[in-house]
Amino acid sequence: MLNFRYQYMVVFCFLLLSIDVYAEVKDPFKYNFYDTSVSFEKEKGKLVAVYTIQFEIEALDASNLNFVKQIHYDSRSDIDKVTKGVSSKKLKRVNFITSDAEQDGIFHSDLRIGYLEHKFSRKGETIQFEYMMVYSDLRFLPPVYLQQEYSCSESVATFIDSKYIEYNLRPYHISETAITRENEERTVISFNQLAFSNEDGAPSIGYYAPHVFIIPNKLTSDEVTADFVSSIDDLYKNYKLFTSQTNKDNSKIEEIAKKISDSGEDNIKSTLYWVEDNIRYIAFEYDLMGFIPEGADKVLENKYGDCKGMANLMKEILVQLGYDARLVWIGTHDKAYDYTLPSFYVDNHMICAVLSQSDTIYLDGTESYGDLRKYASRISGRPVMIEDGDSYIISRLPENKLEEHSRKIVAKGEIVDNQIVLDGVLQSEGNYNTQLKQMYYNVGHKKQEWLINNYVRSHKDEVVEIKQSNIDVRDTIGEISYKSRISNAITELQNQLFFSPDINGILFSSDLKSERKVPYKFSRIHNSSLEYTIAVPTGYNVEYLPKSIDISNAFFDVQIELKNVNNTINYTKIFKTKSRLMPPSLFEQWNSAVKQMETFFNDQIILTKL
Amino acid sequence: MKQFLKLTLIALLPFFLVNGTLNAQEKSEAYADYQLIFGKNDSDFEKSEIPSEFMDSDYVVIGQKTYLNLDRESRFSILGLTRKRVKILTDNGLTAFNEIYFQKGMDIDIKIIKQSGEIVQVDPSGSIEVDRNVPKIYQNQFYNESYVKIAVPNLEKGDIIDFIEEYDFYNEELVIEVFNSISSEVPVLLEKLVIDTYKSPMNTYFKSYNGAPEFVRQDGKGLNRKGEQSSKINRIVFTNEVPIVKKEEIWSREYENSPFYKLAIVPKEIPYETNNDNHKLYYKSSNVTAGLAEFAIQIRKRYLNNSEIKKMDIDMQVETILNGVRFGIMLGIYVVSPDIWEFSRDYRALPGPIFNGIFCNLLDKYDIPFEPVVALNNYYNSDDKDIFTHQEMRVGTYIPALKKYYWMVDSYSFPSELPSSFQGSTIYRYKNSTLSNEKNFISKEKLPFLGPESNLYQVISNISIENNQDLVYNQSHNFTGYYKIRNTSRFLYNTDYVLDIYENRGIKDINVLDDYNVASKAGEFTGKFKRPYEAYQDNEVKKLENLKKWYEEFNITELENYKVHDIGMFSNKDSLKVSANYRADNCLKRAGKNILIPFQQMIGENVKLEEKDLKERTETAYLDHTKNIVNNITLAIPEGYKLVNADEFNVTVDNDIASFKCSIELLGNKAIITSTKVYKQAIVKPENFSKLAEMVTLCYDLSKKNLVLSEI
Repeated sequence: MLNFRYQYMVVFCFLLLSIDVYAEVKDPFKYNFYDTSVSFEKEKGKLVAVYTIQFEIEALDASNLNFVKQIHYDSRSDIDKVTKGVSSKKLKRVNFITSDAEQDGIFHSDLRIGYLEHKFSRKGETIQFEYMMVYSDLRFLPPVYLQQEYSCSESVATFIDSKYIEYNLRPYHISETAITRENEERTVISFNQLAFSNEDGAPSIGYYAPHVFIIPNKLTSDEVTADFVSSIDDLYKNYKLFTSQTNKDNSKIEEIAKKISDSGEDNIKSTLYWVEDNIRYIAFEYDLMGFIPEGADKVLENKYGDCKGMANLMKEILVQLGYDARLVWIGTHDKAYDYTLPSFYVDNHMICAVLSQSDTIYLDGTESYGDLRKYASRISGRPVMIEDGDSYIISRLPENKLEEHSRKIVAKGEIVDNQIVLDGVLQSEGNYNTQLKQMYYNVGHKKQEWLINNYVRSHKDEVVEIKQSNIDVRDTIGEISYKSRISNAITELQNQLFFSPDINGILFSSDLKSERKVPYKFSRIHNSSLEYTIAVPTGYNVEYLPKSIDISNAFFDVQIELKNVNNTINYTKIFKTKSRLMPPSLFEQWNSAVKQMETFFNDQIILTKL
Repeated sequence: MKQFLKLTLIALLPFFLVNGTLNAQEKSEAYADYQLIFGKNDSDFEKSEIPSEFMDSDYVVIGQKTYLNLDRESRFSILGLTRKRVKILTDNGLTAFNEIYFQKGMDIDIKIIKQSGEIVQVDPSGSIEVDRNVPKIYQNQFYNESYVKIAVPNLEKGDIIDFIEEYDFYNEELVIEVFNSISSEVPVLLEKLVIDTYKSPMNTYFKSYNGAPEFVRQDGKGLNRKGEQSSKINRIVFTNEVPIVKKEEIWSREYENSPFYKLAIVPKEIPYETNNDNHKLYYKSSNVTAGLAEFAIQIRKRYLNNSEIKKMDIDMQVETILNGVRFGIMLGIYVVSPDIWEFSRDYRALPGPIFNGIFCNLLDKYDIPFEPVVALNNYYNSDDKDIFTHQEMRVGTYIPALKKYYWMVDSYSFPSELPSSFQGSTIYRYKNSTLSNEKNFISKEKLPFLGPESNLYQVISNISIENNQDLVYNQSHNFTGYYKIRNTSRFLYNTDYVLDIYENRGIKDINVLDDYNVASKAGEFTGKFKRPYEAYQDNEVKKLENLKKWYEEFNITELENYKVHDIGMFSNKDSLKVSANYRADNCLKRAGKNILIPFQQMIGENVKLEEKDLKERTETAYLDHTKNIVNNITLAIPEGYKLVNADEFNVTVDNDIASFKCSIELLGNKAIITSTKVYKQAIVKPENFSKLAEMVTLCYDLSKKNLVLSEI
């Protein structure tokens, strides 16, 4: 797949985690066994891969007895011999219901979904299914997963040696001890596994689920023919083959290139912005069109395109303008692989690169309102394959620098009538700014004011007035100045005032379970800060300030500080994450930070009347 | 446009599609047929200018017009044409029409009118099916198939999209019912509905509400499908040219505050032979009185069979019957017909009329006289000339011997409690003795609005402080009326009470006595009963999770236990009573030697009215019902501390719309906190909204204050 459809994450506040503190609801089903057997067979002179899947499913929940399993396939694969029965000896052919499929809004011409269904009459019952997936194009062999949507008592993958082809296995998250050879004719991998994680913030399954890629090496028989990808060179050759099929009629490019050139702005930046602003992102996967970019003229004519069409359009415009522009294949952060794996599963996205002697600039046309060189979080730091004629360049996108992606609020406050009144400026840069703009333009014209208010008020203050906003100005640091108030903030007692400058200011709300094995995934790296100064009312003195917090480790920084400077309270809160995936080894430090913050925000500033 | 789908098909009758083809073509059938009906230049779609007041919209619907043609005399066949013309004004508008959705089986014609005047035909081939809800602008209330989408090329701001959908289907027993609000989220400059139907077989009923324009009837002015005018065909036309953009005011209801219309089209006679009373009922639908009368007759006819049961003490009989119906159904006894009960796992869904019909059937078996009752909802200003739509109608039963109404709306409330949604309804009661006289057998009454005392939520709390930072709760909850109905399923996650009812409240007897009941076979009953019971047990885990979440307003960290003391289902006066022990850790604040207790931890969350809610209220607020929320709290003050700001919490507001009173009394080391919040009126006019707001705001502000305990 070469499409990636980002979703706008409406994140108004610092509240990053809200993890259910209660016991998990049990799964309605479990697999008693789940066996996948992979073999290669000759079919009309062609070599095909056959994945035979057999499993037994057991009902665990009498209130949910309808079992449905989706099977995806397409024009390069088929499903066959679907049977079910109470035991392996009594399997019977069943009707297999299929339908065309839309997936994540993508236009597919050939994606089909089949449904394995069974209605249990009571819990404790079991049923077995068996079916075959036949892959007629060995270039697109999917990995074999040893972990399923429900827990499994025993999951076994068997790879049978073939007289037609030699292949290697590329296991992920599987220890060597789990892999055995049997009779020098098959490789068996066995696991007892819990279900795919449905925990909040779980990354894509490639990051933690045991699975195996089958990498064909060479044909060992003249009886069959087959196309396959056995090396990165092969992968690139296929990519080139696909892109060579792109319609090269670029007669309309010249006009657009001239328009961009005449604007007098930086041509690369102008090209990116022109495509972002004028070409709408619509994802398509029509058979191999999932890999073949739409011609630049066609994208221009349609005024929409998918990532490949947009990348190709940018390339053609920039080439017209005299730049060394190339197509770039990339796997977003959803992909757990790099170019040591020769598989189409490494990539799911396409962008454009402009090469010069000193620099490589990447352009992602699908990231609407994204600034030049401020790479979307989903692609930053990811390995890339850049076209280079008959060869290719493996490189990596720069990691996003925290200082270029930030959300910062600076506000002056005073205490008036039991309220904290704030005069503030919110600045957003990089991904924060892009995301804010995306939300702003997508929420609908009439709700834009509402959106800004909510974006600003993420600290539970009520926005009274938006004084100024440059959110609709391109290529600037976003800046919104506003007035707000925190009502009911002050508790007054005789000659004292108690308050917190940042009600509900805790950064993340609850613990990550210690038994959790799956990393926590953030949608991006975070760099947010809050700086308030609050004037101490005349006639009062600062008697007490809660103790500051300063936590810094390999994954995150939390600094919360209160200072009295000349009878003005300076409040600072900084939160930074240094990568997108927090490993379980850091959960304890995370939980400790939660506790410290709870203590901090439960402690009140005390002002005493002189 | 907010449109409320009200296309009713007679139950259990299939919905057939014919000619479900989708064609890619330059001149579509939809376009040709539209021209046949409305000519080559439809004046309704001539305008392209957008009034300045709507220029800040993302897009504006210049016109939307639906045409229905029911021209077949022998069977109920429908040709539908819907045309929409939309001008795109912003990038967000472009995004909304990047992809156009329509339904399988429709013929579709899509044109883009460029600002230059050039018209570009869009090829609708290459569509893919989508399996999710589509934006409202694409929804069609007269046709119900799965949706597909296509990408629209070369779309620019300022473009006008003009699309026509044609759908042709027939169904032998179809009745059309439509609720349609004419307010919408985007401006609709022209909305039009045109219906042509043969005079002889069809009745067409329509009525406008809340200031919506009236329908225009044009007898003999309708067209047949060839576009030829025929004196045999009537036409009705609804036209609205005043865009009404929906407001978003708290507690507003669209069908009370906004203009809308109702429409019903039914054949005058059943166009086929049947003995099915259901079908007769639907085809009898006309004005409200006749429709309700027919319904009452049908209930009576359907359920007055098999009177074999000897009389018992009537009170006991009624209660036994009630419980049999209510809890038998909860246990999974599903009713296929009044005489056949079956088991089903889907015990949650049972239509009110069937629920009620079973009750009537069993009453009859015990020879207990009853009178079927139908009630119209109280949502808008209905009257006897209202359009009778089945979706709105609720049914009940009157037992003259007990002088009580029974409303079988759910299993949780006692059926003679008046549900809040019925309050203010007009009810029609069918009197047993006047079966043959259609004009006289209906008696009409108005059900009362009950006061706030009927919907009570009382919380009795004993709260103590641990570690100077945690709160420990011992709470009792008492729910009546609305609160009972709303919360019973949450608290009664445990199956024990169902078993208790089964064993002790007569369900067994009902099943044994009922000769027509498949469940009367004792062994079969017992076996089948186990399955839904197991399902209940497995649901316990899920329901317990939900219950814990219910306490989240108190920042609960641990629910230690809870107990149901009274399930509140066996008399009008019964309340649902539960108690719970739980704790909220780390919820107290420290300020030097003081402990601050957020008052929300005492009285729970309260509604916050935003600035916009407080300014310029224009629409009547509908609160569903009056209500009364009482907190009786005993807060144990830790040794060495005293409560120093109790006076701040002694507040009162009281007006004719709402009241709130809170007081704190100190008794030794205990603070006795009492708060009472009363919504006295369920319907609040805009001019009185400030009185409601006064109370709501006071509650909210108070909940955000802190009780301060100072070290002595």
